Amino acid sequence: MAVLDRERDVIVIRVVYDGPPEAGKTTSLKALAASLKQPLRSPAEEYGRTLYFDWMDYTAGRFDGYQIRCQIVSVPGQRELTPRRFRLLKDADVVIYVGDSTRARIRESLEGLREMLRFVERTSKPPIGVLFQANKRDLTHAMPLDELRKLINTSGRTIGVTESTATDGTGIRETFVFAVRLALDRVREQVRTGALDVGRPEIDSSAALLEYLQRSESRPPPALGSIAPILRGVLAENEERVTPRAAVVSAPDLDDEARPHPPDPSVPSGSIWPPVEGRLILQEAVATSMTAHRLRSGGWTAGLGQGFRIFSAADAVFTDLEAGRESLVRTARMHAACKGLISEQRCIVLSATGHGTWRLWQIVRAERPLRERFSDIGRCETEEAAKRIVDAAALLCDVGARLQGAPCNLPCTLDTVGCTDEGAVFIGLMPHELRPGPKADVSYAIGAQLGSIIRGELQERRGQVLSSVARLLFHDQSLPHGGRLLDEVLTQMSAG
Amino acid sequence: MPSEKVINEHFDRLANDIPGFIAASLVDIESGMTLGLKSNRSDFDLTAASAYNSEMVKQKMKIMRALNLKTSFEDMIITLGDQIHIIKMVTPGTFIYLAADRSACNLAIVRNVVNRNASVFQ
Repeated sequence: MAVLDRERDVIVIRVVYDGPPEAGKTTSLKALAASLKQPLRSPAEEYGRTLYFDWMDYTAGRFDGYQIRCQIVSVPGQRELTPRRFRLLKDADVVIYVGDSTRARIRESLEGLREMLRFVERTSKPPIGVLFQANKRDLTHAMPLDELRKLINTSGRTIGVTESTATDGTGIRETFVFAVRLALDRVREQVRTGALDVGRPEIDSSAALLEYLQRSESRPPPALGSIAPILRGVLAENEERVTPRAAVVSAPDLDDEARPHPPDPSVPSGSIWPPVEGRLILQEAVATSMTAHRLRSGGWTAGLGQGFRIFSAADAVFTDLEAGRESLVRTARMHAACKGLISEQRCIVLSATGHGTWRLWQIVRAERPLRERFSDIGRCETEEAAKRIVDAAALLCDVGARLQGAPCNLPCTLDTVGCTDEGAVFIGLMPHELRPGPKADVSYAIGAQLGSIIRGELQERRGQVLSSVARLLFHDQSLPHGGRLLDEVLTQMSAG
Repeated sequence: MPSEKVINEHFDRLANDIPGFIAASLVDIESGMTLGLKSNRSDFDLTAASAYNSEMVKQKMKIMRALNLKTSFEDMIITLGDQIHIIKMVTPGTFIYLAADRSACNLAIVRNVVNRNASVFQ
């Protein structure tokens, strides 16, 4: 987050103190505050444990003629607050990892160090400096420094190691000075590559940081704006597909359109897409006699329970055959452009309704949606439940990222994404017509859906599950979009 | 895009002008769908042929892009043992696919007739 604030003639850098619970982060900051004669602010504490962060401002020294202003922040160490911890780490220019160097807790410290390294390596460009502050050196069971260095260096990255006894302030100031030098090395690299932000820092005080965290953790759904009507329509159609029996109605407020004939396998060439396989799918789907039923949306469905969803949108009716064919070609082009993103077992058919009009039907083989993987999640062990959630998040992230390239807005949900022979793809109904617009916020939608599962089926173990999910999410290298997407997913999952 | 009826009428005229005419269709490249067609042979699966030929056209366009060829794609002529197939680009998104009996037609005449009539399918 380093920022060059020309107006105030300062370079602002963020030094973050990370580490496992009760390793001495807050004690280190208190010792540093006493040494630098600066006030330390802690927005909220519970029984002496940091809930949000500790904050200290310190301005001293110069870099390229500018004063150096350090925002010194510690993260909460409690497992349940892992998402908050990662959110604070995301903006670090240097991390001082305060580890408990006693033999009893060194393993826990090293696990946390590796976890943090994996996170910052994925989210920080250029790489940030990391220092391991081996704390509690005054205790008799503290591990010798040589042995400690060997263990730390197995992480595959060069990490500076310093010694400290936070309770009496030994080594604290030296570690901090070393960290600032590392942060300035990074700033130098950012200046060289033109990547250094210029202007006022977005977060300039402990109050602003607290507000940012609280806002991030209770963020309302993003404004959908112009995509809302499109998404609502597509989602409603797919919703009806998911719960078709409840959606089939004899609705009094709908117009009295006569019941259309279901699609006919004898439709002429040029009325079906894909041209070759489409007819085979149509013949299989309508092998038994069927009747069309009206849906709440005004559309029609036929073929429920026969392994295919046969659906026609409310406005997919044409009094003129040519208009119907033009719509068929447009829809076929949209489907063709989505090849690889959508399930293959589907076709579109323009068929006479039997009342002097024509209807465009979509026929889609019913595939198993991702939501089925959560049907018994309440009975799973915490780790297994977390793994299923993370696996689903990875699949949704993958499909969601690919759907961004689609020419139309396709909802990426647990009900519209499934695993088929072609891999994870969109298995829902396509919109009737191509209506381009801004894409939906995939990361928000994914986070919200998985969050609702955690808050529902797993409410009693929410903290444990969330902690395991956060840990697994940040270890999963397959998740695209890096930090921002993960941040959004975690925000939504931990909200509420 | 002309209506299906108009397209079919034009293909009727084309069939009369080309000796050995077997079948022809106007094809949407992106979806592979026939927008109109005319066939004199019931055993010639024009729908499948059109769809598969659209894949060939897409591949040819891909090759042109890969070779960075800054020119237009006009037509493709495929000579089989007993048939001639012509693919004539009409618009960037559509093409005419025509098959004729090789023993009964002359390639130059077929090409000339198709070229002359292509603009009516735009």
